[in-house]
Amino acid sequence: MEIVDRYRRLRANGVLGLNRRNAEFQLVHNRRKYYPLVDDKLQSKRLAIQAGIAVPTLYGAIEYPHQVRTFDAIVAGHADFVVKPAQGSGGDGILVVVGREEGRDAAAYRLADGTAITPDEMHFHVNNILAGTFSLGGQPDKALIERRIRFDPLFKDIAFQGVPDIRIIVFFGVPVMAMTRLPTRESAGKANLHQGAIGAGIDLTTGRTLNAVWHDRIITNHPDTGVPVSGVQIPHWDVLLRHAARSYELTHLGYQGIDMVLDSEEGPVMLELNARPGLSIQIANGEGLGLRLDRVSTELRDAPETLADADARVRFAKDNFAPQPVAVPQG
Amino acid sequence: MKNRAVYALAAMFAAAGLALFAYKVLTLEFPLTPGEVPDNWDVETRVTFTARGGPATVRLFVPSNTRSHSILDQSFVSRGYALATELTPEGRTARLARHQAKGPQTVYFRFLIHRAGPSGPPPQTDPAPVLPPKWTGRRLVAAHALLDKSRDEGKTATGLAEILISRLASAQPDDAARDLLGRNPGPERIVGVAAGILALGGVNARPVHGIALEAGQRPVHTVHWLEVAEGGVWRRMTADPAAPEVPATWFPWWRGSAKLAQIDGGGAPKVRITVERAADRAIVESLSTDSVQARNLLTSAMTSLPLEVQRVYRVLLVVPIGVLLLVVLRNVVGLKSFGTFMPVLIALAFRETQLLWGIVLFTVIVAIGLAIRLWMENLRLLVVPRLAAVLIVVVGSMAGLSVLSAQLGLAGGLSVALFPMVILTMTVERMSVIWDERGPRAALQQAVGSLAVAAVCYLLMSHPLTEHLFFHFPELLLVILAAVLLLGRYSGYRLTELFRFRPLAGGPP
Repeated sequence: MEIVDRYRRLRANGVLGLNRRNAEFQLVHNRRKYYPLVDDKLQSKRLAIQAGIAVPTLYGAIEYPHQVRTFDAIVAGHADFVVKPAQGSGGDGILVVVGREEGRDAAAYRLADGTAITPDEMHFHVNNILAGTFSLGGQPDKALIERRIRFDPLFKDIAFQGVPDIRIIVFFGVPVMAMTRLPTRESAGKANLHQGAIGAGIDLTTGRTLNAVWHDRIITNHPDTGVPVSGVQIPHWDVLLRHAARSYELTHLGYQGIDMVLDSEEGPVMLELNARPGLSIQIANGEGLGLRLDRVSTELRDAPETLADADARVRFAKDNFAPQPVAVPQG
Repeated sequence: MKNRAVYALAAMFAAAGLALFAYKVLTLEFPLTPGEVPDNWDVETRVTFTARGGPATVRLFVPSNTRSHSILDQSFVSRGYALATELTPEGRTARLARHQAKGPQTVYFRFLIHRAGPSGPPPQTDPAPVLPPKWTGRRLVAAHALLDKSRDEGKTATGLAEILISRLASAQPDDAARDLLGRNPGPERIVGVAAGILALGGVNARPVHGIALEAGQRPVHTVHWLEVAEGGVWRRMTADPAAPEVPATWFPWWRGSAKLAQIDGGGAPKVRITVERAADRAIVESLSTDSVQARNLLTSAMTSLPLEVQRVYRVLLVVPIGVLLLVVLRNVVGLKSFGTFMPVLIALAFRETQLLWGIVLFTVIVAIGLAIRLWMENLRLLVVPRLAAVLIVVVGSMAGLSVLSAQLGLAGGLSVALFPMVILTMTVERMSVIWDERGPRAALQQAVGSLAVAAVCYLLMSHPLTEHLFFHFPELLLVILAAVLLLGRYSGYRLTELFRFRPLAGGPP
């Protein structure tokens, strides 16, 4: 039967499904007490700073509704900034302010997607964040106001109105798979695949992009700009890999994803960590995660000393995880 | 490691559940399907009243065996009351008395009826003289007027009774009938007045009160008919001239003009009757013989509960199978739905509304709520007041829909009141967030998905076989628990992932 056959092939190719990710990796290797470290971006930011990993400068945080009126003071000296929920998931609730618009009754904030919102609407949005509209499980949340990333000009043509980010899956400190997520017109500048962003796999050994996937379909050119998205060299690749490898010491989560961006001034900057990274990265790489995760497990069992420090883990990843895309059937 | 513990637990639960199930099916011969249940009925009467503080007495009519029904088991539950039965001309009564009673009092009376054989007219073995009613003045004149008018047309006793009933039950009764009946007479009043007039005319007739042995009545209303002595038997007729035949399901409980329960030393009693098809032969036998206590508790745990509580558990016990289905649909098939258990709760509401009406009402309410919620986005309300506003809108639309469907005469629309409003509110809220963040398409997709899951859960949970199995074999819950535990460690692909990861299915098989 076609379905049974496909099931077998997926398993043979080491493709990781949600059930297996949850049952064998997330639930087993991620201890619940460490979740707040990654679920709360304020905490992961502090940890990263301690470890010397660059993060977007925090302009201020708002924790209680009565502090909302301090918002204007927080952003006073900044032409552009980002407002995000500390415990948001999937990029929901993030507003990227790129400038001000004068001339109307009150100065409005211009957003990355070209629209504008009034200070009133901005306060309302912050209140929504505090009330937990965007947080996991709807718990009360904090709002963070951060420096906006000015992304590397390299990405100008392959990202539409937004910050492309680089996601690396890390298993016990070993970078196992990477992709870059490119915003499109449809994703409204957001780098989330389910909102219509493009995901392009990255060759771990070289830092060059592989095929790209858009809505779970394989593409080679950006749908908005027409520029090829494969074969692009990601700058600072070794720094990115090293950050990823060190993220394990930050959180002690065995299985996690690290999201980074390239800032034109500061270079690689960590945006957030994720204890439940999605599985589309496999489609972007044309390869299953399972075999690579098994390879790390074997190494941990047989020769854990080779994975002792971050540099060794980066070397291990480069030695072992060259792309081996599985054949893609036509149609 | 962890898997072994899960397998062991699952095996234990499944083995225990299946063993008890097998014992009940094979040894005790519990029927596996609802169709095999014999014609037994469990009747429970709850009498509540407020005692005044002195001695209190409750008099209750107790049914007797008839030619077609036998009373298998009778029991009273009444704390502090002494029980005595006495025989009165109107039937057997139970007298529950207490020296001192104050405040709210509750008395339970329960019996089992076994229905066998045809129900022909009862023979007139007790030609007890029927006493003429104590009518005086205007009403006595009216009764005689009606009797005289009807005598001309009805020659026999039953003929006379039929004419009387058709006059009394007419949509526009004449003045004489109205004097006797009062305003808005029910069948009980019509039957009582007819019996009185017949007694004036020297015809032996009596009103009969009982219940209909039919499943699914809530609440149970008593039924009333007339028995007229003719040719050595009691001829029976209802208070409805269009359908004079007394249905075979009607069971006679007591006769005469008295109420079912009478109280001395307390306020007017509230009587609530429940009728439920009784479990099965084994349970009936174990109840009537009271043989081995341990066996009873293990095998008839559910049926030992009061009927009202049983009714609740008939619904609750099918929830786990719905939840199991939900787990399969989410973790094995890979469907997405709003909230973890929301579809099961919606499916429970569908039990009351029926599927089609349920889907229509759910869609209408969520659509109204969503439209208002999306518009409310402009008002910039804080989250908790906004949720409260949506809840109020949901309750308002439910009420509006009920009124509208009552006006249009659509009975199905009235059942909207049974929808869980908090679940509807949360559905509206989550849907609107998804609508805003991921677009209308994603929101509608998830809504349709949730509704589809709810419909499938409903079809499974409302099947008579499901209800029968889980109510009479609650040990099957252990089997469900075992299945859920196993699914908790299922690490295979979800059906939807086979499509999602299609590009990765290359290479040799």
